[in-house]
Amino acid sequence: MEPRRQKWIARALLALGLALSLAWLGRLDFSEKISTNVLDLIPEQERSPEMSLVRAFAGECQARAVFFSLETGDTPRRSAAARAFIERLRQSPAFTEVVAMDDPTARNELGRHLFERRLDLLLPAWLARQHTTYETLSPAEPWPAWLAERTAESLETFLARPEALALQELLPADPLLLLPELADRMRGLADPTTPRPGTTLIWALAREAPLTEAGQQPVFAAVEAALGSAREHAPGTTLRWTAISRFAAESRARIEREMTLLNTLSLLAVLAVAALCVRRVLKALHLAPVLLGALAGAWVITTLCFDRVHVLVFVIGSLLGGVAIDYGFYLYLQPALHPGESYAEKVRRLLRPLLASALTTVLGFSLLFFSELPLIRQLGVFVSAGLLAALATALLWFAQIDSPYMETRAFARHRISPANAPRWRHPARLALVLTALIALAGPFLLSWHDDIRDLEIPAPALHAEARELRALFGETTGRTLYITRGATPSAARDALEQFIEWHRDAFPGTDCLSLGTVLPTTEARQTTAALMPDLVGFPEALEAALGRRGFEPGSFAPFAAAWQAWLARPSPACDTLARDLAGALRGPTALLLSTRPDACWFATVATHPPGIEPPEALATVSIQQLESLNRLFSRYRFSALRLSAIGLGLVGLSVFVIYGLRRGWCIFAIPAGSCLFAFGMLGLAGQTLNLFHLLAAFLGVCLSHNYAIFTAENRARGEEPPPSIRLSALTTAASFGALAISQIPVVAALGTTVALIVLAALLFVELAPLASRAYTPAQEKRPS
Amino acid sequence: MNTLRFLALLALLAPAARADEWPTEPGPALVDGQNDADWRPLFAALAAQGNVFSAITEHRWFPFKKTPVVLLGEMRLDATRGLSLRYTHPEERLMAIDTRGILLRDAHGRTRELASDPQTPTANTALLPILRFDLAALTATFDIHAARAGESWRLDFVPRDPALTRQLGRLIVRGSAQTVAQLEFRRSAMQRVEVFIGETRRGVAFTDDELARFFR
Repeated sequence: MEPRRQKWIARALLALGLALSLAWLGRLDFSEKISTNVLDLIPEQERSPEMSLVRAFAGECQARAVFFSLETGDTPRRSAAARAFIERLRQSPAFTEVVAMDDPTARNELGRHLFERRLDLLLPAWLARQHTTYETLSPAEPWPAWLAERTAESLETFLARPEALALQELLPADPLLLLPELADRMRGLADPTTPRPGTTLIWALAREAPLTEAGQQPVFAAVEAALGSAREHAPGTTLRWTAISRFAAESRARIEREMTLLNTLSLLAVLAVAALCVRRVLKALHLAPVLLGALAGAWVITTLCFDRVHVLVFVIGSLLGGVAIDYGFYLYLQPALHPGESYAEKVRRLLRPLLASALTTVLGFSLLFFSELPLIRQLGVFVSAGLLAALATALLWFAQIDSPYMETRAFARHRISPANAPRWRHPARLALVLTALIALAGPFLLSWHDDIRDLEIPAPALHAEARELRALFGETTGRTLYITRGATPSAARDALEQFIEWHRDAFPGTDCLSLGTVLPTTEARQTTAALMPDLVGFPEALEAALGRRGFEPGSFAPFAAAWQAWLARPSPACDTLARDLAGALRGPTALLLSTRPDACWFATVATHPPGIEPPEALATVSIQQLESLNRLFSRYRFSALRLSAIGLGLVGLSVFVIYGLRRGWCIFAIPAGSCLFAFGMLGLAGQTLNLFHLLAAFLGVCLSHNYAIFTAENRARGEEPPPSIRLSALTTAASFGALAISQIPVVAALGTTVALIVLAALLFVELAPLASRAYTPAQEKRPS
Repeated sequence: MNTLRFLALLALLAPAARADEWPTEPGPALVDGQNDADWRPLFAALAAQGNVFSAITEHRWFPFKKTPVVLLGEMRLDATRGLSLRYTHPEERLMAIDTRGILLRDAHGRTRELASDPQTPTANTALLPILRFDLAALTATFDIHAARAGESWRLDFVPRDPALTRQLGRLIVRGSAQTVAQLEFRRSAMQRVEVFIGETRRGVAFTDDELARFFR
């Protein structure tokens, strides 16, 4: 093709690509398209029970709860200030419920409900327990008489306890002690601590889910306005508060800052390496279109393929530049083979290694598209599309400039002179043996731990404040929270009973408190139904037994009336009882159970630090498991490991097909050895690895694979390794090294791993020839 | 324990002064600087008695029971730690009352704590000044009525806070000379708790073991 025409066609294609990219990106609603919600990283169709619960929590009131500690100081106007704060919040449409923790209304309402429904709710379990004791003791008395006598005896014993004085007005209606026993069992379940004088604890429920925009800014504005109202009464008022919306907003702000910082640092690092290694830095600006083309291609294809893309894909993918620039380097830094070599001739000469490296890398990354995790799928598409776009942009860009060659500084091309080569042989071998030892032994020291929280930027100050607040609201340390689920409230209740039995054996001597135990189990209800025919006249028998123990006759008439009324109406279903109970809960207590058709569960507080997880058959998980999703992420890691292994296998296979067994082995040994070395170093450093180290290793392997191919191609032509490898490795290490300082643990993991692999690959490319007895620099020639 | 032995034990622990010797009705309200001069020496003497150990018998009267529930135990009053009531009959149980609230411990060592709310007067914050006879603190919370009949006397503490009145009722302390003989928490004639003070040691130094076992 005539050079002038070739230039115009290249320019036209570049302009078309740019126009299409801008047109597509320009019409995107980025706030809609880009997600910062960590749950978007999990597959929507994920059916693991933990994930269903986490999703339910994220959308439901458990996530919308807001905890306030209003410190008005010990001023006479503190009550007015607290009232003003609460009233202002109540007026705000951002909140649906605002409760002062010292307001007894919610407790009284629950108490009233439990009292009114005590026989439906609490009698079955009580009766089943008594009957078990009766059968165990096998007394001579008939069951109804024994039960009446035992109840009277228990009541008499109870009167000597301190709480009898407080509950004495309740006892004529509840001589079975159903409510005192429940109160005793539930003590500490959701009791806030007593705040300092001048401090008011307030609990509120936001209207919108905290991970949405509507669940954040309106809430913050309402809180600010409420604080202003409180300060009108007590100017020194301060506020501490915690809510998931605060964490979500902070996380998004930090990720945005992080993106800006990392991209800037990465760009500066690449430019610094370029400025150091090339003669005319301004000419290095010709590499910028390759980077821009890669990123534009990656953004366009990824946003075309997915409805929503997580912001982490762009954070991690922004470092695509480190890989994409390889093709620019390789094309741009290759001198003409002979004077007058046209660009088309040069491209034909270099196309095989370029395509071999790009297509094998794309092949490997495109396998990630089959991952279960949306983040990994999106990353696979982002990198694959970016690499192809980078290669296309590099080929087109350098086709339309007059001088598609940039000379490197001498030291970037420097090779050990023939005279000095033997002197370097032993140190080179020693270094290779050392790296081999690290690569072989280090990985055995690795341990794996997956935690979804690694995907977020830690906010220590917010976490500390949240811990303080939650402690004030009664969440003490050294306790474990479990969630027991079921298809229906009744099924969840039965599972809860099984869990409590398991817990009794697994954690002896500790208590297990759950509002779910207020509801009767299926077994207890069946026992009650079977026993009731014998107990129709129980109130009379009880009255007689109480009379024998010195109780006033007729005092327990309220109980007899309630008993007869209860017998006269049909027993409500457990699911109805559960929904009625849920309807009577207000404030923080309402967070302890859910009876929605798609999310039935009960929370249980256990008085011990987290320990072994309950077996899956008990349908119960600890909150620690939910917070980390460790089990789920381990499964994803194994899935990613399988895909990476297949991808790596395909990359290796294609290398063997293209280059044959011997050369293919030499090429494949470099990425594989670099990867093992990086894992070895991480193992020796005591680093705990996760899913994202694995992904980083895959990326690193693909990069080092490029270097191995370019080196092998040059060696086949009798040329020394191209200087582009040094530049590429250094720019990649610099840009991924920038990632290593990220505050997001997984991004730091990616950066560290890729930088280690790339540097190790460079080391192998440089040292292997020196260590070889067969190698003499004289055998290699430089392109003219 | 059979009933006869139990009654015999009750007789041994019976208060030093007999109930019919005490004034039957509350006296006039004490007004600071007007009619309290005769009573100040008694308050001062009782306040100065230091740590106290007493055997106690407690009668709890409920409206639905003809006879009181009787509890036996020990009372320890420590100037700094607060009040400890150890019940030994009908079951072993401890109730420690201090500025932090109330601690309950059963025979199995199971402990429950009821925190005190500094913003709301509660039984524990009201009771401690009474047992320490801290007149200045008492006048801030209670209307005090005082009556004498010879050596015997009766002090009625009526909470000013209606919530505390609902919780505690009227507190009546009866005694003779400089000895406290009975405490009564009276919500009504049918709902009341009488604590009879038996053998008492004043100025006691509690051992570390006692402090650990009976206080917080």
